[in-house]
Amino acid sequence: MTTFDAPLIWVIVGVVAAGTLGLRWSFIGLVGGRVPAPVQRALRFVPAAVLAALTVPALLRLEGTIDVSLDNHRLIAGAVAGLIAWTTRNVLATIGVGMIVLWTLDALW
Amino acid sequence: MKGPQARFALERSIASGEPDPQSIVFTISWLELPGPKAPKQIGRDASCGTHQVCYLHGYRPARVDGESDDLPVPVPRREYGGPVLVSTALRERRSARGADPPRSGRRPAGYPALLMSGTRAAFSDGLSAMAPLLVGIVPFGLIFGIAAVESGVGPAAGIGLSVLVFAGAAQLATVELIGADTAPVVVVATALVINASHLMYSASLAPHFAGLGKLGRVGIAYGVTDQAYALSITEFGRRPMRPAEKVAFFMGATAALWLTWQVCTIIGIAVGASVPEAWSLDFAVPLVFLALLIPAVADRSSAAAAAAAGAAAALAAGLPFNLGVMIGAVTGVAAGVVTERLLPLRREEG
Repeated sequence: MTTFDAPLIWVIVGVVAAGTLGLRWSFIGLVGGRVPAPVQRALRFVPAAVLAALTVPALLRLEGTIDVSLDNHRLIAGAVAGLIAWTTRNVLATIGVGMIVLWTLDALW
Repeated sequence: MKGPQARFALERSIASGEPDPQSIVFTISWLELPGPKAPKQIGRDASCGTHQVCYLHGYRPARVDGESDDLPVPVPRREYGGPVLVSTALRERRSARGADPPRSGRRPAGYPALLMSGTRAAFSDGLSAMAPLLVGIVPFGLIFGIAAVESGVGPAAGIGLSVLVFAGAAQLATVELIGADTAPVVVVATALVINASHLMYSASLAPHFAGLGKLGRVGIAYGVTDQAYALSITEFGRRPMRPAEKVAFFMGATAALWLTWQVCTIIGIAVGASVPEAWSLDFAVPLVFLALLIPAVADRSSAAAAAAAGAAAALAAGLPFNLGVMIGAVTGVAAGVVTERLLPLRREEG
């Protein structure tokens, strides 16, 4: 739970919204613009890099330290879910299987 | 005459250079009426879309509304597609006879499907193209709603994010980071890094919407998402479309996504308050990111980007202000660029 108060949260929401619209508007709004080739090459890697940076720590870290033992149920559930995502490319199946594996592990050990 | 029969007759008459107006009428009504057999696919096959058949060949359909079955009359060429044009020609002729007073902006009764304009067809094309993708959006939206409540962001700001930002991964990261009391600057920076790929979408879509006014382009920009971008750019490349049809297709795809997203956010928020902590539903958030990550890893350099980003983010996760995500993302992008530059070199050596 956050300790931020509502006005601060709304400021963050507003700035993220304005920034996102700015990114989306950039080239559509300024007709004739083109993304320089090196930037375009770099932008291609943004989704993979950002999503990995969000996923991996959430799976690896348990209570502040890196934990790669079998006690880390989230890591095992995440690995299984990754396998499902790889084979099915299905968001629903990935989430479903990942949650079920986590619940099973938490219930048994 | 219906279905394949009508289509055959149409193709035969076009091939002979003497389009048979009957077959055009029947083909149009069959293709454009909503029916059980997904008629639009046939529409794409037929040279340039049925509504343009009349336009290209310059005929109006005979025998509509009990009119006499006389010879086809060429219709003057106009900017917009066939069905509108047919209705105009018909109305002009009927009003000349005094049978039907001219009504501007309204369709004559009796053949609504025939008169479906190209932009309306493109809008519903956009809606139905988005439909299969919505299945993946539903759990994502629900999880966002739940996370908004659990993180303490609250219902109002949660809905605010969905309406104002309208970008799932960035919204989810914003909520997660706010929940961890991350410095606001880092929250904003992380969300914008996640949306940086929208720059690329914007550049790619820009030429298609160049004809719009300032406000229209802001409206289009608001609707740029991974899904609407992917569908639109594919559709624009597949068939010739007028600018208005492109806008309509994009708006159709975005409208379906937008409505689903808002409804799922609200349901998630409503449900979120009553989800017990023992369900560990917070774990669904990294699972969503994981489900999005796997398809993003398309080749060896993006795999290197993901691996480097994940490792750097895990090592840097102890840093203050939750800077780990940002550091991981930057490291990953750099690793991807470097790998891409090195890979062709290695291939040349081998």
